[in-house]
Amino acid sequence: MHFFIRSLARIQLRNTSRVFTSPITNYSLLANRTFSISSTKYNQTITNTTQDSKILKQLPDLTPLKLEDDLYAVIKVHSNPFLVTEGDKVILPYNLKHAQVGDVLNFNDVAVIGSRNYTFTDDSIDPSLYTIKAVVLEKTKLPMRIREITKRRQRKVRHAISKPHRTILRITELKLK
Amino acid sequence: MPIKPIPLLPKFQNGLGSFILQCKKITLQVDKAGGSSEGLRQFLKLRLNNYAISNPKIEFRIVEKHGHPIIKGHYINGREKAICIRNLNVDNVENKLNLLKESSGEQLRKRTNKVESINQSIRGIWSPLHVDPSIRHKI
Amino acid sequence: MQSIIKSSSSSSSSVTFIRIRQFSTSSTLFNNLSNSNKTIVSEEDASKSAPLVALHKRLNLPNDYKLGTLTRALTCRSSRGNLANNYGLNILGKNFLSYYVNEYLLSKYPRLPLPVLNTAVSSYISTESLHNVGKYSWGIEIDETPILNKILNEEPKEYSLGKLRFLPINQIEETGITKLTSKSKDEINSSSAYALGVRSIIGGLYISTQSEDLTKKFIYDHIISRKLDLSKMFEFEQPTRELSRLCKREGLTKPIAKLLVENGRLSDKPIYVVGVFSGEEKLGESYGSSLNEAKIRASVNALKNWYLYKPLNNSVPSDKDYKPSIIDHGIVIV
Repeated sequence: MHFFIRSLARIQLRNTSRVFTSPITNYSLLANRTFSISSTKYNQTITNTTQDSKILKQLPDLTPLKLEDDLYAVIKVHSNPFLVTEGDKVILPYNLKHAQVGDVLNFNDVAVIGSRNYTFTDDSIDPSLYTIKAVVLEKTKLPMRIREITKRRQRKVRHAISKPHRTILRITELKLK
Repeated sequence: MPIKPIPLLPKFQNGLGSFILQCKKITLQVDKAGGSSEGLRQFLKLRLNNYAISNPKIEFRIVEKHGHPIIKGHYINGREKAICIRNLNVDNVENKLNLLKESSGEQLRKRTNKVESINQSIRGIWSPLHVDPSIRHKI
Repeated sequence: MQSIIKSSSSSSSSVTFIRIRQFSTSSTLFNNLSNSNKTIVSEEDASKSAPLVALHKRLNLPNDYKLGTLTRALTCRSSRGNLANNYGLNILGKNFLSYYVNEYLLSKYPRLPLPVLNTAVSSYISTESLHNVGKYSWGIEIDETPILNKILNEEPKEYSLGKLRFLPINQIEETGITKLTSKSKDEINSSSAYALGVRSIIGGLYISTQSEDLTKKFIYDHIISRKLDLSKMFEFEQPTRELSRLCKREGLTKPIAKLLVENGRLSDKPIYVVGVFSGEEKLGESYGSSLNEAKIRASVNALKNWYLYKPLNNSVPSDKDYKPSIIDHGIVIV
């Protein structure tokens, strides 16, 4: 019973979040804009109930976004959000060990896809709606930094060296299917 | 002429359309007899062949010269990166080669932003003049 | 003298010797040589050149693209030696480039005015632009090492096959040495040589694969994928007048500029936001520090919106599923 209520709540949440925000320039609709509660977490795995799977399969209609020229997206890497457009460089603050330079990455955790006038948000947008790809450009580091660490009334100076890793990606594809 | 065209050159963004590895050549400078070149000599003997086969996009060049061993990466942007690999063992030599291979040749610099973009802002810049007049801030 | 050179070219060890002789011989003999039977580099020789193989792999060229063809694409007509040059490949590549770039721009922006279209095409495929492609995105090197150094370094003769070979304009002027011979017409600067190389590599791709699709994809990936902001390429002389002519031609009501918002009219830094309307419809909107400036900017914005119209259907005539989109009346005559 408890499970059923939770799944119902999920359906409702999905439905509310799949509302397009109206064009920002249109003042009259400004008051009616709905904001999604993207911070609310829920179980992502698809359940076996027939009713539920039917609703999950029903994909939202993204025609207004498809008619727009340029798109932006908020992609998440280890739940760290990056707002990107096509051609942007994404700087990941670590060494992406398992990817070689030139590898193509496919993003499947996307929170927002939008354009100038419309925004589509969901907790995690269904990956069958979009393709977002990036290529690993380089694996580099920041310039070496030496910090002097001292303690009061002690003459010893410790030099802490840091040269952290960076992985740089380029978004090569951002489009709706 | 009512419209004058302004000539501009397109900007190349590596990875868009095609990805091109930026490291084009690696020079391995080795001493025939020196003790500090031991690791590099072993690398040349045992691993270079396989390494070069797995990285066909890079040209490898071996130079014999007295002194400590140096590996140098040559990049498409015209820059070079040189690393002294004295007294390093075979594995560390390979790690340093990977470092050269994975670099784009750009000088190391601070990265202030998470995302670097040359595109115009898609949602536009917020303008106080375009806010609904009924809720606009009045001085 | 020619006979001596020919006989010696049969033995591979003395090839370097020929080059020295050519260096010192007069340009007429050199021309005779380059016009006589040209050798095409064998695959075996070409595969010995590390830069050539690396370039082939770097560009992800298909296996059908022979290394000998790539060498040929990098050999300009003015280069020394008896190798086949890229004269023909260059013409083929140039035609492919201009066709696909024109087609792409015309289908993407059907209302683009002709002067802007021509400039946009040339900014994709001009000599300077292709020089940037060859040098800064493909990393092709020039064969600059003097012949004497090559001999002293014991460089294998195949090594320079992977580099761009041409007769450069001799820019180094040494004191006390004056050049008596007139400038050879074959002398080209490095940027035109790079452009020749890039065009020839594209031409060579078609020759090797006989596939228009692959050539088209290659051009889209390497030439057209670069970012060019067309909206920055317009300069209007009389934007307000041009806009009203445009509206008249298209049967729209006369454009009227309306002040939308203003701020600080009495201060020294006022801001006005002006929209240009045709009837109820807003054509363009912009800002300015005076009413006139804002009006002109708004008209420019409206004109750019018109000229840079992009149809949803992005297919080009060379696509299989091409459907013709709009054909524009052309530029407005003021």
